[in-house]
Order: sequence, then structure tokens, then C-alpha cells
Amino acid sequence: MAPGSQKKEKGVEEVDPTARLTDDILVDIISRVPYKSTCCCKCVSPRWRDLISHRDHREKMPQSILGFFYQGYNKFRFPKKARYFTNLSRQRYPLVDPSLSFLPNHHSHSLDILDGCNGLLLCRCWKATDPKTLDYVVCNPDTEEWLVVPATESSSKVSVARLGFDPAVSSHFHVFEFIDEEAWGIDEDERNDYCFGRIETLAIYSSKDGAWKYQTVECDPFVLPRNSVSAFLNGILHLADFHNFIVAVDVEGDNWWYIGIPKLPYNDADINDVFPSQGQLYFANSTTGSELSVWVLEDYVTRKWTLKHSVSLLQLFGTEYYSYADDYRVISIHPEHNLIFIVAGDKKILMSYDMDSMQLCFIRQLGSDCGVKLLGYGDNTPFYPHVPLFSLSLADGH
Amino acid sequence: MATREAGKKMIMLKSPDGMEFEVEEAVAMESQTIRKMIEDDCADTAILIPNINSKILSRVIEYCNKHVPTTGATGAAASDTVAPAALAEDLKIWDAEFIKVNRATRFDLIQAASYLNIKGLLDLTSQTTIDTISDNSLEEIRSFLSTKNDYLPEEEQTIRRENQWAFQ
Repeated sequence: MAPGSQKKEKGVEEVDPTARLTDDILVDIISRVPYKSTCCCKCVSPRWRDLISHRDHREKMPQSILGFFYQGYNKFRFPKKARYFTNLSRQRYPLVDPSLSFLPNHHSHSLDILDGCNGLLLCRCWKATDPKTLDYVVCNPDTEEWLVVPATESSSKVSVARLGFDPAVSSHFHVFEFIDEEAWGIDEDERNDYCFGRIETLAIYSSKDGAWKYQTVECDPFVLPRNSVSAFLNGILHLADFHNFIVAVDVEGDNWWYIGIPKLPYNDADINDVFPSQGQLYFANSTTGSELSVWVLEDYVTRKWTLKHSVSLLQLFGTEYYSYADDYRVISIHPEHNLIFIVAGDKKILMSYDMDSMQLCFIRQLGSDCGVKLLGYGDNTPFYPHVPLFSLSLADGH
Repeated sequence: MATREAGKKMIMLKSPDGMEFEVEEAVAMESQTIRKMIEDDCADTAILIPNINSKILSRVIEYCNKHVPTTGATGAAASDTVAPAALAEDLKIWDAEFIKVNRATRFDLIQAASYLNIKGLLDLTSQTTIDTISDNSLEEIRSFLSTKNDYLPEEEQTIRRENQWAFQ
């Protein structure tokens, strides 16, 4: 029934009917509205606010971005490589333990986070017994559940593996492994001369089938930077390639899209800036010119991008912080909100920029260790946005 | 109501206002709460359903009658010729009609569905509220629920500021 057609029966209906509902029922109802609406619900009344914020109910409520996993590096420190989690809110709680110490020792002793997707992390765990072999582990740091994904024959040489997972669709996930010509074992003289590091094969692991499926890449040749940020959206994985294209592929590996970016960078800097937000694919060009512009992909068929927001760097940082204009990068976009996350300056300051109110907000100094060149990662330490997931168990289909 | 086949076990449900409803055990067991009582042998004679008046209870039974598997609610046994998809479509239309009730009744049904633990009915009755909350502004939600604004002005200002973005 449309809310507008709701008839008011005077006298009978003037009492709040939710007042009679028990906390459990009301929590159940509120937990089924989208995250944005729960924020609105907090303002309905103190009872609603308290129910939503209560520790016992918080896990049932729709979740939003809590913070970022990232890695720091300092060769004068032990350990040189360290993983961190930084919270976005000013509250100290809840923090997520980035050590993933709930994993068995043989998995956690040498582990890299390769991707994060809707609450799950994809990790590469080198084996202690044979450091040249590995397992993938997909885990949920909030519920401490994990599943091992067996490696393929190429895994130890593969630099780009990504995760596809959407709890709104299924409790199953997919791991995408992009295998380049060398890792696939193609002889040097038979490799593509014009496209060094061309991706030859895509292997997709489905947790439902418990098996890898291989697809030879037959369309246009492409190369992926190893730190390419992925965006998984509506069952399609998107990654920026080296040649200013966005490569998109569905979970079956059957359909591929090549989408040109809306604005080319001035130099050959990696484009690394595709993000999922509000159910759409966003592109932010932070490597070009004197302004930051944010685009949204309207249509996969026509490959039409629409300019969502544009701000000059002078306006973004102001005169006081204008030095950041030379050294900043967009690391993520809020999943539900017109809010961009930026890391800028030597000290790697994490800040948010609200595209509606055009306000810049300093969140935290991450420190210069973060973003120091990691082997093969360039300057772009990956940041993995984390949206906690409590409501779903990891499913193993076999 | 079609004549019942012999041998079907009947259960007596009593509402607090003294009405009694005789229903097939299978229908009553659509409610997980009643199912548990029956399985635990606590249902020898009649089951008193507290807090649910006869008007609401009769509607709940109507729902369970329609949704109990294998037989249609009108008593006409679901024949083999009816495709499951058509049956599901029929149920959907029936549900949509069933839920055309005033707000007070709908919230009574939510409470009843929750107490009796009938998931389908709880989902159905909650959905309008979920949709309303999802699609409307704070003021519209408050007026839909006739919620009294118990916030102190300064409290309200703070909570609104913290959640400002959700209003846009």
C-alpha cells in the first residue's frame, strides 16, 4: 500500500503502534531497511536511537564502511611490513584486528591481503614448508570465519587476484586470478611484443562449485598493474588496466567489457581509481590537472560517463593546504554517501571530502610509513575499505 | 469450508476473549510456537493464545489455512494440474489482498506473527513498515507512525547533525 494512501482513522490511530511492539520485533523491522534509512531512524525517537546503537543489536543492523585495512613499510623497523586498520569514526570502538590472528599459524605467518570485498578479505598465504607455494584464504575478520581456496598451478606467479562477493545476492564468493603470459608458461619469443605482461588466462574460483574454471582471454590484450584497485558491482568485477581502460568481467568469465575512462591523465601515471558506490561505478581522476573530478558510469553499452562532481584543487585544499595538491590520491568512495576518501601529503593524512557540502574533513594522520614504495606496488599502497558483515555465514558449496 | 477428511487431527485454539477456534493440526503448526507446544505434548486439549484477540487470531488462522502446504485454503485440494509457479502467483495476490488492513490491525498482526513465530506472516506484515521507513523522510516516518518526538531540542539537533547526510 502506498504510504500516501494511508487513511488516518481519528481517535484509533493516533497512538504510535510501534510503542506496543517489543524491542525484538522493532529491531527486526529496523534491521531490514537500508543503511541510510537506519541513520534516519536514529532520529525518530530516543528509543529507536538506543535500539539501533545497542551493542546487542548493532550486529543485526545494516552496516556501512567502518575503516580501511592498509599496509605500511619501514626498512628500519621490525617487522618491516605491518598491517593496520584505521577506523573512520572518532570513536575508538570498534576496531578490527588486522593481524587476522584467528587464522591458523601456518596461514598467518606470511600473509598478504590482496583484496577486500563487502566484508570479506582475500589473502595470499605463503606456505612455511615450501615458501614458493601458497593457499588463498578468504576470511571474515568480524566473525573470524575463513575458508581455504586451493591455489592454481600459476598462483605463485600471479600478481593480480581479486575477490567478488555480494552478500545481498549470495553467501558464495568468487576469486578471480588474472594469469599473465609468463605465469601461464608462454615462451618468451611467443609473447605479445606490444603488450608486455598481457593477461593470457582468467581463472575464476567459485566457492559454490569448489573449483577453478579457466577462460582464455580472447578479446583485446590488456595488462593490469598489480595494485589495481578492483570494484565488484552487480556481479561484475572492474579493474583499471595500464592503458586507461577499465576491464570488466562477470563472475562466469563469459562477458567482458572494455570501458574507456572519461578523462585521460596527462602523464602515464597508473589510473587506479574505480570505486563502487551507491550501486554504480565511479571514477575519480586524481592524477590530472588542477581539479578533482568524479564521474559515474551510466550505461555499459554506450559506455557513457556522467560528471558527478568537479572541484578545483585550490577549493578542495584551500590555500593553507594547497601543497597537498601535488601529492594526494583518492582511495575510496563511501558506499552510500557522496563522500570521497583521500590520502594526502608526506605524512599520509586521511581525509574525507563531502561532494554535497563541499567540505574537507581531516580524519587521521596515517604516518609516512604508509605509502612508502612497496616492491611492485609503486607509491600506491592499497587501501581496502571494510564494511563489517555479521549477518551471513561463509558458505562452502562442497 | 469444505468437509474435512476423516482422521485429520484437530487442535483447539483459544483467544483470551473466550473464543475458540478448531483448526487442523497441520494448519496450527504453521506457527513454530504452536508446533513446539504440540511436539512437546503440551497441547492435549486446547491451547490458550495470550495477548491475541479473537479478531486477530481468526485472521492469523485464515493466513495459515491459505499457506499450509499441499492443500489449498478454500479446501479444494491443490490438484496436480496446478503448476507451482501459478500457485505461488495466486498466493502472492491473496497475500496482497490479505494485508489491505488498517494500520492498527497490521501492527496487531505483526505482534501476533512474532509471538506465534510465523515467518511468512511476519515478513508480509512488516514489509509495509519497512518500505515506509526506507522510502520516506524523517517527518513522514514520524507522521506515519504518529511517533511522539521525545527528543529534547538540543538532543535532536545533535543526532540530526550526526546523521545529516541521510536526509539528503
